[in-house]
Amino acid sequence: MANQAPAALPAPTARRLSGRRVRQWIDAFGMLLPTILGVLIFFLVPLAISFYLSFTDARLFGDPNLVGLNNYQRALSDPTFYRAMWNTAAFSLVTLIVSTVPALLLAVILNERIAGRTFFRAVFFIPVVASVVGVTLLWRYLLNVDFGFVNYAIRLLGFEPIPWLTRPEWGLASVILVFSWKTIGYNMVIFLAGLQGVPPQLYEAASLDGASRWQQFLYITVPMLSPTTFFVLVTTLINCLQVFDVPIALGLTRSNTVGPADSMLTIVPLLWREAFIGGRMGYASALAWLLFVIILLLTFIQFRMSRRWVHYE
Amino acid sequence: MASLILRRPWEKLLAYVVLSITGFVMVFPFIYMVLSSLKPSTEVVQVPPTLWPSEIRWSNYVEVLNIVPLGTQLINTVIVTALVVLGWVITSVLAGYAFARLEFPGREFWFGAYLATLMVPFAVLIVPMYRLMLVFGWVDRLEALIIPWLFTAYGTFLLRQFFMSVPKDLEDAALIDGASHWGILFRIFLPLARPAIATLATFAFLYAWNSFLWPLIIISSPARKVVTQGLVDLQALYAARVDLIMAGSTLAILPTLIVFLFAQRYFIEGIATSGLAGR
Repeated sequence: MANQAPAALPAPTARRLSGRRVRQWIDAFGMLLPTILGVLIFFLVPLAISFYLSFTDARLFGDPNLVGLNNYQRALSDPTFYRAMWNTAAFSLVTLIVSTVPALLLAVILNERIAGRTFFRAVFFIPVVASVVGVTLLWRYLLNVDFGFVNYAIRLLGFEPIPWLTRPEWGLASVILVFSWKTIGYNMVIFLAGLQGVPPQLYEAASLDGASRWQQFLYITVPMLSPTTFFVLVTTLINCLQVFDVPIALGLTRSNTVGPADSMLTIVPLLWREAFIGGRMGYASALAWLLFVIILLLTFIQFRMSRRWVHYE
Repeated sequence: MASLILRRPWEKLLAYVVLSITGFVMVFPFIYMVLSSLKPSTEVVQVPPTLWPSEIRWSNYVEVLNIVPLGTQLINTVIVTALVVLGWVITSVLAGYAFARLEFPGREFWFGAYLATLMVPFAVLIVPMYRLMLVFGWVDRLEALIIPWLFTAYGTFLLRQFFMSVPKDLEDAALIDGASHWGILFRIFLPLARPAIATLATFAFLYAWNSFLWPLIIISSPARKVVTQGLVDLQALYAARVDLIMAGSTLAILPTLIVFLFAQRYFIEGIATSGLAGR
């Protein structure tokens, strides 16, 4: 930190150092310039415009007029909005469990010294890297009610075939299935990294004290892993609330419903449909800000609740 | 590390059963996809389904490249992906270095503010971004898929973390020799940062190759669409040709699997160390 105490140095040195400091500011500005321009033009400006549009009757083209809180009031009295909210909530809640609990279980197994652990880790990660749209269309085939492989397997086991993509009551379950299948490997890798950060001495000490393996898991692994668990829950929830690709690729129909009777319609697909099929850009902007506020609120609540169960060293 | 939980042989056996079943569920769909992409169009909808194609139809791939047209769309995707990866790496290296090694007023504040942009859901930006593209004349042009996406708070974070871990003596020596910060960045830090750049590049590749929502909004001409859009069009226009849809999906997924095969370490380490992915 040579340039932090110029006052103590003789005058000529101090002047040279401050010249060097200004040089550094200029260099920093130059290096940050592409990012500054990007954030300004493609983030801050759109953010401000979006906020403004949410109070207007903007359509696809033409000048918007201010309409006060109309868009927000309209959303709160629109049954389709409630339907999308309900679908998003149900989808997020179930996915939060289905995509994390198996991930933790797999991570615990792969944290053991067993042969083939890097192989399995890679295998579980394959769905994470594959194109969402590609794998969703693949699942659209696998889940086909008549000739899909999943129903073939279900019939082999002696059960009735399931109308995954053709009946409203199964629509959301299909989205959860595909989304979780794709997310488990990602959550597993994060859990695994967390598990590898737990010092082995803790287990050795507990074991000498006669703690059973279950007790070790409960009183060492779970608390030591809680920051990781918290991270996984927060990011999974944020991703779930913004889900778009899976419901659209799995359920978009010719009449622009998302799944039979809009059973797969979540918030972002609704927003997309309002803005770019219906041309209601002002209304869609209001939906976006409602979603933003919901995400902020839920994240805040998760942080508040985390004080009770997350243990940082 | 010693085995902590699995001690008895039957427990290890059980663990392998769980791993194998899960592995099958994760991988079998891909195998089935590739096999189905080679079947005649009547065989893919047959009940009961076949596993191995009764005859191998490579012609499905020729056909799928020319309808929609997926071939052109794959080329568009390659162009967009290559430029976005390059943009992410350049802007993140520069900004990450500035935030990690240069001193300027409000550095921590600006870095925090940049990270905070990750909190804003993309949904908030799509409508105004569409209007902005109208103003720029980039609607239905590849520019719209490239230029707004050349910078990333995630990548800046990743590179900053890396540059902060480099010992200070290296640059002090160079500074005494009269090197500029740009020179130090390019001659000393850049070669050291190769693993971090590889991690960032793999994420950028995934992000750009798989992006769907923004292209869906901004591109409407079939010849300018990207591969994810082409697949959805294929599903909408040729729903009965499952063989072609599977061939298209294979073509969209294969490049990411190949990159993953070679860059696996960077993917998994990147996630494990930063826990972040996306923009």
